[in-house]
Amino acid sequence: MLPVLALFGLTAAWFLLPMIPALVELFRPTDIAPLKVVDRSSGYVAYFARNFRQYLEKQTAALPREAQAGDFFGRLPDGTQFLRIHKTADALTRDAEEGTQNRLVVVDAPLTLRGGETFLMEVYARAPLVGGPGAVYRAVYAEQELGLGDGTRVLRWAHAGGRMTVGAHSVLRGRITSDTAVILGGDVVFERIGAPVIAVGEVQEPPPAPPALPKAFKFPKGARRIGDHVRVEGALEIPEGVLVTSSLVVSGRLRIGLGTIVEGSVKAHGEIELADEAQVKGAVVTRTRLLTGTGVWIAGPVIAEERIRLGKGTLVGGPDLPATVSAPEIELATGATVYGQISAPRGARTF
Amino acid sequence: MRFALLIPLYIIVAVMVVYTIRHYLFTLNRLFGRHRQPYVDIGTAAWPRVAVFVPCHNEEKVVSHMLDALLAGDYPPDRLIIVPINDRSSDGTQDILDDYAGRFPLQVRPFRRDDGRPGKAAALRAATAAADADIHLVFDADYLPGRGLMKQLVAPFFDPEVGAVMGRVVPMNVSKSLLTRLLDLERTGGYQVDQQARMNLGLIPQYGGTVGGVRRAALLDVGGWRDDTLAEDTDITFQLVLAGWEVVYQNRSECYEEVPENWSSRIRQIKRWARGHNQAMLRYWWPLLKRPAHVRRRTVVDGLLLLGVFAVGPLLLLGWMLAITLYYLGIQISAGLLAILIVAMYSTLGNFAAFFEVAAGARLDGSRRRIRLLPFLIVGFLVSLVSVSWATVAQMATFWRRHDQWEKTERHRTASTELPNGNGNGNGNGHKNGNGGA
Amino acid sequence: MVGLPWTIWRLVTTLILSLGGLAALLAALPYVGRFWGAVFERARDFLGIHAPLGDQLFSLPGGITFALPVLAVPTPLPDSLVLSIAGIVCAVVLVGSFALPERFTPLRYLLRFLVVLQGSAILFFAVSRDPFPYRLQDHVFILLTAGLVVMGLVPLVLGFTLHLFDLAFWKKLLLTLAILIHLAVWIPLQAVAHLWLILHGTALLMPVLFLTGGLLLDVLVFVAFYGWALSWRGEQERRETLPPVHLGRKARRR
Repeated sequence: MLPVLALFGLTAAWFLLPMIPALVELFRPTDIAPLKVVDRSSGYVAYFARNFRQYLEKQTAALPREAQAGDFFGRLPDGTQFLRIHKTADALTRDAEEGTQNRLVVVDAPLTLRGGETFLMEVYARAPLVGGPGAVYRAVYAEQELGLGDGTRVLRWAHAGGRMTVGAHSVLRGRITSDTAVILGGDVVFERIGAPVIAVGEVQEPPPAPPALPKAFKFPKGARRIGDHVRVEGALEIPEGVLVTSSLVVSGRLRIGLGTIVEGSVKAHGEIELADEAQVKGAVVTRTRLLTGTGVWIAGPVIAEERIRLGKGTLVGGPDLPATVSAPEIELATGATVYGQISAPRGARTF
Repeated sequence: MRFALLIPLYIIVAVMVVYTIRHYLFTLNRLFGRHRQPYVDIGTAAWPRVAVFVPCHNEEKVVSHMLDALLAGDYPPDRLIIVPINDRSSDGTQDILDDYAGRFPLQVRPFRRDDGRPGKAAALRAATAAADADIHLVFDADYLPGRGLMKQLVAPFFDPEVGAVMGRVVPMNVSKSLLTRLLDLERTGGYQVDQQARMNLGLIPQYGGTVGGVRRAALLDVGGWRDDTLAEDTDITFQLVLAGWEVVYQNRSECYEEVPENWSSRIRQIKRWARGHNQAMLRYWWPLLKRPAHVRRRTVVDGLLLLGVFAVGPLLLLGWMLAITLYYLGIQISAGLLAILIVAMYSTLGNFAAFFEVAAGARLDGSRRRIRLLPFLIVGFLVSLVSVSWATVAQMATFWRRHDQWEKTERHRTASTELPNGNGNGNGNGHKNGNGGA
Repeated sequence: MVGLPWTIWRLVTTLILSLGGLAALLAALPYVGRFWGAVFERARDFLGIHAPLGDQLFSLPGGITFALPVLAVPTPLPDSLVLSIAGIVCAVVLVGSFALPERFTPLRYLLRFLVVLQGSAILFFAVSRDPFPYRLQDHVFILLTAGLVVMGLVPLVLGFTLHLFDLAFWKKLLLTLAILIHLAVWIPLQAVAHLWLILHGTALLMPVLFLTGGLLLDVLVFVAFYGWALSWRGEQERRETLPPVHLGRKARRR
C-alpha cells in the first residue's frame, strides 16, 4: 500500500506545484481591492492648479505669524523650501544657481521678470506677473494676469485668474487654464488649454446672422432620414451658399462649401473640409481629419480622430456656447478662437 | 453513423476556432492597436438635457445612495432630471422616492408602475415618455455613479451618429468570495479588452443596460424599448445598429457595481442573460445577415458572433456528448490537428483565447497579481456552461411561452457596507459583456 | 494603461522562444522518451506490476527518432459485482452532491458531471453487446502521445499569448523550460497513476479518466504556469518604478 500512496502522493504534489501561486493568491490574497475607478475630477482641466492652491493655502496658513507676510526665505511646514517676494525681486537670484530657482516661489507684488530663469518648483503670484523670454516653469499659478514671454517652457501646468498671454515659440506641456482668457502667440506648442476664450492673436466673435436665408440644400438620391439626422452613403459635397436644415452623417468624405450653413451637427467617417465662412450650428465629428477655411464658425464640440486644422479666424463655440476641440493633433491659424477647451494629447501648434 | 457524429463535431470545432480567433484578435488589437476614445476629452460643452432613469423594484436598501450620487454629480442641474421608476415595489422604495421628490422637485421626478408587464424593459418603456430630454441615461438602483460620470456618458452624443453609449462596470465587492474574484476577472476581460477592441475596430460594442444611455431620437426611431425581452440591452443594441445608429463604448466611464456573491444568484443572472440574448439572436440574426447598406461586412460577422455568444455553451456541451459517444463507438477521430482541436476544446471548457483576454485585461488595469487565479476560471466556466446550456434547453422546450419570467438579481449590500474610496461608491447589478459564453 | 508598446526586439524574441523552444523540444525527444521509459520501468517494479515493458519507435522528419514506453498489461474488464459497486458509489456521490452547501456549487456540478460520465460507462458495460474498444496499454499510450502534443504546443501557444508581453527575456525562457520540464515529469506520472487505477478499478474507469483526468489536467498545468507568469512585473513597470537617475545606480539596483 505504501508504494501506491507514495506514487499518488508524488503525482499529486507534482501536479499541484504550479498551482501554488494560484492557491497562495486564493488564500492569502495580495491583489483583491476593487479597481480604482478613475476620478473624473482629475479630468477637470484646472485640477492640478486648484489642488496646488489649496495645498499652498494650508501650508502658508500654518506658518508662524512673522512669516505670514513680507519677504520670506525658509521652509513650509512640510519641509518644502519656500521663498516669498514682497518688496524686491532680488531675492529670486539669491541662492539661485545659474538662474535655476529650486524653491517654491510666492510673489506678492506685481513683478516683471528678466527672462531666462528656471523654476524647478511652482511659482504662485498673487499679483500680475510678467515672465521674461526663455523662462522655464515647472508650474505657475497666477491669481491675476499672467504673461509668459517668448520661448517660455511650462512643464506641468499654468493657471491664471486673469488673462494669460503666451509669447511666440513657447512650449506648454500639461494643462494650461485661465478663468478669463488665454491669448497665444505664433508657433506655440501645447497639449491642453481650458479658458472661457482661447485665441491665437485676436479674439473672434461669432458672426452675425446672414442678411438673407440661403436656399435649402437638396440631399442626393439615396440619402435617408434616420431619427434626427440624414445619412448619406459615400462622399458628399455640399455646394456654396446653401442651407442644410438637419444634422448629417456621411460615410465617406464631406466637403461643405463657401458660406454654407448647417443647422445641426455633421459627422463623416472620412475627412471633413469646411470652406471659408461655412457655419455648423452643432458639432463636427470625423473619424479622420478636419480642415477649415477662414472665418468658419462651428458651435461645437469639434472632434477628430486624427487631426484638426483650424483656419484663419475660425471660431468654435461662443461667449454663451462653451465647446471643446479635441483631436490627437491640432493646428490653429492666427485668429482661430475657441470658447472653452482645446485638447491635443499628441500636441497642438499655432501658426 | 460515423459521419452523423463526426460532421456535427467538426462543425462545433470550427465554431470554437472562429471564437478563438475572434478573442485572440480582440486581445491583440487591445494590446497593440490604435485605442479609440474620441469623446473622452470633451470637458467643456453646452450640455444637452438629460434624463437619468433608475428602475427600482424593492430597492429601499440602496436607492437613496444612488439618488445622492446623481444629485452630487457635476452635470448642470438645470439640464438634469432624475426619473426613478418604482416598478411595483412592496417595500419602502416609494416613500424614499417621494421624500427625494419633495426635497428636489425640479430634478427628481419619480415614475410609478403598479401593473403591467414585470421587468426592467417594460418599466423603461413605460417611463420613456415621462421625460422629453435629449439623452436618456440608465443606471441600476444599486450603482453609485461618480461626480463626472454623467458628462462622460453624454459626451459621445454630440456625435450625431451615436445612438447609444456604454461605460465600464467595475466590481466593487471583489473580496467577498472566490466567485466575486472570478467575476471581476471576467468583467476585466469583457470590458477592458472585448468591448474596447470592438470600439477600436468599429464593430458593435454592446450597450449593457446600465452605466449607459441612449439618444431619445434613436430610441423613438426604433420604436422604443421592447418589453417582451429579457435582455432589452442586447435588443436595443441591434435595433439601433440595424437602423443606422452607432453604439459606442467608453472604457474610462467607470462605475462600481456589485456582482453576485453566491452561486445561486450568479446562476439566475446568467440564465436570464442567456435567455435574453438567445431571444435577440433569434430576432436579429436574419436582419443582420441581410446586411443593410450602411452595415459593413465585418460588422455583420462580428454582430452574428456577438449574437451567438450564449449559444457557445450548449454547443460545447453537445461537442462533449458527441466526443463521448464517438469514444464508446471506438471511432478514431483521426490523428493530427482535428484531434488536438477537439481535445483542446473540451479540455479548457471553451478556448484558451479567453484566458489570454482576461490576463491581458488585468495587466492593462495594473492588477497583475490576480491573474494567478486564472486556473480557477475553469470553475466559473463550468458553472456558466451548465447554467447557460440548461437555460437554453429550457427556453427551447418552452418556446411557445410568449413572455419569460424576469428575475431581479439579489442585492447584497446593506446600509453599513463600506464603499470604495475615490470616485466610487458604487454597487450594482452584474453585467454581461459579450464575452464568449462565460 | 492605454496599450502595450510594440518593439522589433519583442517580435524577434517571440520567434526565437517559440520556434527555438519547439526545435529544442524536438531535439530532446529521444531523451524524453528514454526518461519516460525509465519512469515506467521504476514504477512497474515499485508497484509490483508484472508486465513486459517494450517501446514504440517514432520517426520525425529531420532524422529525429524516439521511443515511447509501452507496458503490455492486460485490460481488466468489470464484472457484475464491480458494476454494482460502481453504480452504488455513483448514486451515493450524486445524492451527496445535493447535500453540499451552496458555496460548493462548482464541486456539485463537477461531481454530477463525473457521475453522468461514469454512469455512461456503467451503462455501456452493462448493456453493450460490442466489446470495449480500447486496451489499457492503448489508453496509456494515447495519454503519452497526447501529452507530447501538448508539450509541442507549449512554445507556440506561449509565443501567441505570453511572449508578446514586456516580460524580461530570461523570465520567458525560464518559464518555457519550467513548463516543459514539469510536463515531462508529470505526463509519465499521470500515465502510471491511470495504469494503476485501471488495473485495480477495471476498464470501467477508463472513460472518466481519459476524458477528465488526461489532457484536461495537462492544460490546467499550463494555465497555472501561464497565470503565474503574467502576474510578474513587466519591463515597462520596472522602469517606471526605478528611483530617479540622480540618486545613483545603487538606488536603481535596489
